[in-house]
Parts: sequence; C-alpha cells; structure tokens
Amino acid sequence: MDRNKFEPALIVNKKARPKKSLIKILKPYIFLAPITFFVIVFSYYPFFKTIIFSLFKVNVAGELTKFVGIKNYIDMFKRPDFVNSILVSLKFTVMFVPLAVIIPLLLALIANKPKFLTKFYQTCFALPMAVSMSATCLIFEQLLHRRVGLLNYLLERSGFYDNMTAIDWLKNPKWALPALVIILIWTSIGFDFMLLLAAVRNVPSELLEAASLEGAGYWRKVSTVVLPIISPTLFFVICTQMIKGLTMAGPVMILTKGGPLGSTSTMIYYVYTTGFRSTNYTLGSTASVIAFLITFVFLLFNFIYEKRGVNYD
Amino acid sequence: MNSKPDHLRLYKKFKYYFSSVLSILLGIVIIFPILYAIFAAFKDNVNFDSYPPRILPETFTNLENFKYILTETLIPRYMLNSLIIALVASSVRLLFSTMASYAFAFFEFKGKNFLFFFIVGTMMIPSEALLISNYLTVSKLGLLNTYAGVLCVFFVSATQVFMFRQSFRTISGSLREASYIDGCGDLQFYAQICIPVSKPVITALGLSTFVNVWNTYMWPLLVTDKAEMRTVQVGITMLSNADSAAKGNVFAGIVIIFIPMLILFAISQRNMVYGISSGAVKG
Amino acid sequence: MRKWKELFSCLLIVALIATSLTGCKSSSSEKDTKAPVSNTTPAVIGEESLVPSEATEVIFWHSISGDKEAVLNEIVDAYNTGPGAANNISVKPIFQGSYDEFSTKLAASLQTGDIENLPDLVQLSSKGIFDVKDSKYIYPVQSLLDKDPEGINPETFNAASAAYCTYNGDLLGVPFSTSSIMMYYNRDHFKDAGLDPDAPPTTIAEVAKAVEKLTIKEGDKIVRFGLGTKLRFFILGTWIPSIGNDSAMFNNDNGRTGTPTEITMTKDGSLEKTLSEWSAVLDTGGVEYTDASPNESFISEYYSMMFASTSSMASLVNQAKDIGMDLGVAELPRVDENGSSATGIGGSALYMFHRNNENSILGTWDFIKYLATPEASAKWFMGTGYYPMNTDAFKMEEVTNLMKENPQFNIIPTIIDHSDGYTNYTEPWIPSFTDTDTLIQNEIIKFSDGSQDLNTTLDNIHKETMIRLEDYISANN
Repeated sequence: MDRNKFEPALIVNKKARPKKSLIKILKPYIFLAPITFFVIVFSYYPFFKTIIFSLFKVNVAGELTKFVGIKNYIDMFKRPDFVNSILVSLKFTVMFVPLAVIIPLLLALIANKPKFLTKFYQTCFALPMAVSMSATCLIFEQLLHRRVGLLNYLLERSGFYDNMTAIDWLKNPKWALPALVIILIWTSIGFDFMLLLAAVRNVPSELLEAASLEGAGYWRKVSTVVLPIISPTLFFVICTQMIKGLTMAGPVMILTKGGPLGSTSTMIYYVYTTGFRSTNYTLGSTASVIAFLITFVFLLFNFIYEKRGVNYD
Repeated sequence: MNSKPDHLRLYKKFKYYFSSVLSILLGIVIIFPILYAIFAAFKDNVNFDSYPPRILPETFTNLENFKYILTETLIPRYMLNSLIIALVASSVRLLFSTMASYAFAFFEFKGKNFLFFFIVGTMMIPSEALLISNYLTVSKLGLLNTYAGVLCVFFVSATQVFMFRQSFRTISGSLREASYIDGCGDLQFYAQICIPVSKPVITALGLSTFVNVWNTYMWPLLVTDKAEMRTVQVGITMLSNADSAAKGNVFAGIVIIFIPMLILFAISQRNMVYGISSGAVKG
Repeated sequence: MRKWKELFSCLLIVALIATSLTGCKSSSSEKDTKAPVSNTTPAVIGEESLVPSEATEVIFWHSISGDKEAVLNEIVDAYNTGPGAANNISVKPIFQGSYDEFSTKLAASLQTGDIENLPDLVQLSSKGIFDVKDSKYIYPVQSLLDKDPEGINPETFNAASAAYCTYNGDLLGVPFSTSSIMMYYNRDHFKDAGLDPDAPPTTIAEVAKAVEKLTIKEGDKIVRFGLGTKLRFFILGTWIPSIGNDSAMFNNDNGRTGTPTEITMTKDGSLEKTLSEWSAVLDTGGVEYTDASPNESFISEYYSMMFASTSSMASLVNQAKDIGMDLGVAELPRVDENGSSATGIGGSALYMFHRNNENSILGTWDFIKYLATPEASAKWFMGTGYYPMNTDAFKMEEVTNLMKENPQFNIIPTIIDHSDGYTNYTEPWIPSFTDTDTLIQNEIIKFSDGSQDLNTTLDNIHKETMIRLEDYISANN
C-alpha cells in the first residue's frame, strides 16, 4: 500500500484514511516503551558498565581509579583460582548436560506409551519441578551426610565401604562436584521432561506406523523417526541445560561454598566471591565478562550445529 | 491354532504390567527425596542423629515442627513475599512481552527491526553476569529491601517476546484490518482477541515464570536483609543455617513451602503441556 | 547489513551513555565520601545527654544462631523490659545469616551511603571488619567511652579481647562475642587408650603421640580419628605469634595499625616451624584435617579430640551430659615447649554505626552499657562460653556456682590468665579475609595429604596472599 501516492479516484471507495496523527505514530513506541526501559536499565546498562569496569581498576567504593585496558584480562588468566573456576564450570557442564538431556528424554519415551497408572508416574517424573532449589539442596545435604545419610547407609550395608573410610560426599574434593551434578539434574528433570513429552507426543503416529510396517524395532524407530521430529525441542533443551550448567552457582552457595579445595568454585561463584564478598569489583567485572564470553561461544557452537542437525519441518 | 495368539497375548499382557510396574517404581525413585522430606517433617529433631538412619518417622501425628514453623518463624511471611514477587513478576513480564510483541506483529514503524533485535538480544546476556551492577543500581535508587527492588530485574524476557510475536503473527493481519475498520482500537484488539487466542502460551509461559521467580535464590539474597522482606528460598536456607541441629523444623518448612507449588503444579499440568506444545517450541 | 550498522551505532550510543553515567556516579559518590551530610557532628554526641530524647529503636544485626541465639534474645528481652523501658529504648535483634553473607551486603550498603538500610549495632568478625573499619559511618566506641567514663570501665575488659577490636589505638568496637580456640577431648577414649585423662597433650608433638594411640582402624578403614580439626587463621592466630618472636601473621600489627601490605609468617620461619611440627601429627594418619566444624562428629564419638571455640562450651557441656560423655577440656597445645602460654582471640565484636541520628547512637550506647554489666556478661558467658565482656562476671555467684557444677568452664578464665599481657594474638584484618583464609586452608590441606611439600606450600601461600593484598592496594590508592 503506497501511502505517498494520492489517488483522488479511489477516495470514494476507500474508507477515508485520516492523516497519521501523532498518537498513531507514537503508538508502537508506547507499546514498546515499558519493556525497552527495563531492557536498557537492567540489561544493557549493567552489561556495559561491567565491561567498562573490567577495563579499569575499581576501588571498594565502586569508583574507577586507573585505566588498564586488557591488562585485567591477561592478569585474570594468570590467577590459578580463576582458571580453576573456568575448568570447574566446564567439568560440571560436561558431566551435567548429557545426563540432563538423556534422562528427561528417556523418561518422556517411557511416559509416552499409555500404560497402567500412566498418570501417576507421569506426575512423579515432573514433580521435581515443583521443589525449589534451596529445598532440594537441603534435602540432598541430609541424604548425603557422612554418618546419618541414607546413601552412605545403603553403601555401608552393601559392603561398598568394607575397606575404606566412609565418603563425606559434599566435603570430598573428588566427589563434591559430581554430587552437585546429581542435585542439579534432579531439579531440572521435571520441566524438561514435560517439554520432551509434549514433543514426543506430537510425533505423528502415521510415521511411526509406517516405520513399524517396514520392520523397524523400537530403538530404530526412536532414532530415525522420533529424534529428528523432536529435534527443535531437543535443541532447546540442550541449549538451556548448557547455559544452566555454565552459570551454576546457587547450590554452591548453599552447600559447598566453593570448597572443598576449590573443586566446586564455578565461574559465577567466583564472580560472587570476588565482586561481592571481597568487594574487588575489578576482578568481579572481568570475571563476569569472561564468563559471558565463554557462555556465548558455547551457544554459538550450538547454533552452528543447529543449522546442520536440527530440522524444522 | 489358538495357542499361538494366547501365548502372544499373555506375553504382551505380562510386558504391559511389568513395564508399568517398572515405570511406577522409577517414579517413586524419582520423587523419593520429596517423600523423604515429608517423612522427615514429622520426625523429632533428635531423630536425625540416630544411626542407622530411618526413613519413616515414628509417628505421623507429631505436628510440632509444623507448629513451630507456622508460629515461631517468619516462614509464612516469607511465603507471602515470594508469592507477591512471583505473581507481580510474571504478570508484569507477560504484560510487557505481549505489548511489545503486539507492536512487532501489527505495526510498521521506524526502527522496528532494530528494536526487535535490541530486545531479543538480551537473551544472550546472562543475568548472573549483571548481579553486581544491578545490585549497585538498585542500591543507589534506594530500592534495597523493597518489593520493587527485587522485582525490577524480572520484568524482561526476550524469549517471551520472541514466542508471543510468533503466536500473534498467526492471527491474520486482515482480521485486524477488518476490526480496525469496525472501529476497534488497538487496545481493544489486543485485549479481546490477541490475548484470548494466545491463552495456552500465556498460561505456559506465565506459570514457568512464576516457578522460576519463586525459585530464585541469589538475587533476593543480595537485595534483602530485613527479615520481613526475605523470600522463602533465602528464609528456608537461613533457617537451616540458624540451627543445624533442628532439622525437623527445616523439613517441615520445606513441606509447607512445597504445598502451594504442588497445588499450582496440579492445576496447571495439563495446561502446561498443551501450551508448550502448541506455541512454545516449534521452530 | 544496514540493520547491523544501526544496531552497532545504537549500542555505541548506549555504551557512551553508560560511561557518562558511571562517570557521574563516581563523582557523586566522591562527594559523599568527602563531606558527611549529617545534622549532628560525631564529636558533639553525648555532650548534653547520654540517653535519647525520644523513643528509639536500636537495630542490631548479628550472626548468632541456634542455642546461642536464644540466650542473646533473653538478654535483649531483659534489657527491653528493664533499663531499656526506663529510657524508652527498644532493641531489635535480627539474625542475618552467616558472617560471610551479610558482611558482603553491609559493605555494599556502606559504599552507596544507604543509611536507611544500615543497622545501629552490628556484630562483625574478622571476615567483615576490613571494609567497614574505615567507613565514615562507623562510630568508634572510644568516643562514647571518653564522654561517659562512668558508663563502662575499660579496665574490666579482657585485655586481649579489647585489643582484638582496637584500631589505631582507639577502641573501635566492644568485645562482646570474642572467643578462643581450645581443645576438647573424650576422657573415656583416653582411658581406653591407656592415656591419662588428666594429662592431655600440651604440645603438638604430644598431640601426635596421643593421636597414634587414640585412632582406631579396621584395615585401611578409619573408624575413629584421634583428632578432628582444620588449620586456619583462628588457630594460626595463636600458634604463629607464640613461637618466640611474638610477631603477627601480617605486618602493621595484623591490620590494627593500618592496612597490611605484607604477609610475614611465610618468610620469617614461623609458619614453617608450625607446619613442621604439625607433620608429626599428620604422619600418624589418624587426624581428620579438613573439618572446620568438628563438634558434631566429636559428640558422635567419631573424633577423640578436637580443636574448637570456647564459645561452644555451654552447648558441648550440655550435649555431653545428655549422652553421658566425660568431657575433657584443655588449652590449645603449644607449637613446642618453648611457645608462650597465650591463646589468641577470634570471634567477633560489636560495632556502632552513625545514621545521622543522635538518639539512635545514644540508645545503642545505653544497650552496650547494659551488655557490659557483670550480670549481662555473666549470662552471656554461662549460656555460651564466649568471654564475658566484663571480667568481673567471674566473681558473680551464679558464675562460680556454674563453674563448680561444670568444672570444664574453669578452663576459660585460665586461658584469660595465661594470655594476660599478650595482645598481638589476633585474627588479621586484611582485605579478602575469607578468600585468603580459604586459600591458606587449602594449601595446608594439600600439604597434609602429601600432594605437595612444605616449601611449595609456603611459596604458594605467600604468592597468592600477596596477589590479593596487591589487588586491594593497587585499586585503592
């Protein structure tokens, strides 16, 4: 529709269009104003402020004192505890993401076929979603207790501890991080299970029947029919779980406080301890930016893979 | 001639019940931590030191822990705080997102594409990286220990804007033209057509936001130090820190916090699945 | 392509706006730090009256939890219904979580000048004092001590505790919740192992011998540890200065006369000597060296001995009675026979904030005076084990009765006695206290499990600590 052309002959037919009033022009912006305001104040402004902070030395009052440019970043990588935090986050993500994707997927496949009491176990599979992260941490802290925790009790009874001292899971440098992986997986299976269940249910049954007729077994059907069709959802789950893994800090704050021996000090926890607890805004800001970049790179890889692996019909 | 189908039928029946039972057991294993917490809430504080550890409480009639939580701690107040914050956050977020998506779906204006990328681009900025800066901003605005201070970071969701735009786009443009000609203003069209049509997506996203905000720990921890303003996540952790011996109380608190989420979950489960499948994650 | 250009140019604009805003904010906060906007200059407070002129609420932030919180609340209630009511003052205690969590937020509030959200009275440990001690909002207790000499007699303070909260010669806060590290042990285990329960180890070498006898193993599996502890500032604060040369762990008197610029214990041989002696204990294989809160495992008889705070005395005595354990107490063993008899002070102290309200400060002072009375000090001591702020409390009848019924409490005045005159045995006031404490603990643990040798450990500790000190100095000068 060409608003600039003036066609007197058509005016009779067209409903008379009043000249665009100021309100009309402003309307879309009015609709967008609230969200844009918050986007600027609480997303972009702090983001750029953090980047700028990371290029300076910042004192405990939050004031910029000296411009140092990239030096902060170079120095960061010389700090063993920071490099450790990156490794911890990566280690955690590598342990977390595969399980956090496969487990809900298997649960979704199990819950897909209507069986006896399907509603019951379907609800069970999704229920962890309703338990908050703090509560989960506290419950698992009790279950993993060295002396009175159920896990150690079962292991003791099964003879696992016959020749070694009982493991204090959350205080053991080797096992604290895997313990946190289990805890975070448990919290996240609920929501992703539901997502994948919906996706699996949406697979058209004709395709599955056609595959059966061709003699495909169950797992064959899953890999050739179901997986491609649910790949958008699967992709979404992989992305979100990856972000969740790289930015994990809550359970660390509640349960392990970065210990033991720094084995659970993740990137974001590092940002908290330096930028907040030690009011070292220089370190905190630099660490934040690096954490963001690492996450961004991972996401980028994901999207590159998306072009190849995911099909949107 | 009959034995073969019989065999098969029996085998199929066996497989059916066997896999059902396995699935049910799996379900119980998965919710075991929740069951443990519920049982633990009825235990005496002393019982937690006992070895070998017990799962079931001695009796299900010991309500001391619940009474303690409800009367001696501020947990009910914390729940109210969390409720207000989660409710307002999810409503406002929905409002802002739908308004923005409406503009993107139905208007043509200068900078439309730019603004869209500008807003959706925030998806890439992890909120954790902004904790320090946002804390300083909120502090300078004098919003520490207020609902507003906790809420302000939750109002924006790039994913919601993205999804609603897709959802609104399915509403035919000519429908809008027609209603416009009929004298229906934008606000009316927005309120009476767009919103109802997107109800499943709205429910799904609204609930998911509610749950996420209810569960946030770090941000409310930083922004609140007045006891009355704490959210339930921070409160329950402090309760656990406060008296490491009184575990029964902590579990009673966990159960009490769990109840509203359980109710919400029960109501919304069906809606969520439908909403998610209908609009949310199609590519 | 054009859309990216647009995007980029707008981001640039946002960035420029952000910079200018930051610039504005720094200049405005600079203004704040220079000229206090108060209607009452600190010097004038207490000139006219020592009590508030109207009803005042005193906000009191603390980290006291569990049983001890109940005792604290009793003391506050007694004040609010007694002397507080008479002067129209009411104290409101708020539990703020662990020292770590709230000192972080406190520092941030101070930094932004958010007076509304500051407390009047706050309990701070070494973890939180550093960022706060130089703040213009902190109000040194010395000022009121000078104005109100009848109010509190500083002679009644335990000298070492007072030194803990002295800064640049002035008393910055009051030593309300100070404690020392000491040793608790299970006398029954001693008897079973053939050790004399009345002669607990007095040096690290003797500890090693005791641990050897007390540890119970089944094959490779340890069923009972001889000792449970974790070396950290609290313990090193006693051991390092005790080795003959009386030197602190950091220069500038552990931060009491200025920000430390150097960690000295790694280079002057004191840490080396300590860890060498400690090796003897490690070699027994019967020490659990990663447990900073050994109380629970001690009570469940998993450890025969443990190093823990005097402030756990009351709760341990009660728990021991409940389970029928014969609880033994002793001073922290010396590094070697030549070490001094003093034990260091740790824990926390109470500090006041100036919130532009003279009445609040006077109200807080009134409450502090109450806490400094022998009665309140005694109650606090008896209910917890923290040093009583007023040492006259030891002369009170209830206290002497308590100590008769529970002789374990007697170790506390003994520790005070033996520490008399030694005022350098304090936890350091350094930037990034928690980080530094954690890194030292971690390095010592790595030394303890044999994964690195002594020299590497000392080097790492020195290097890492200096980095953190330099971080602060380079950004704050």
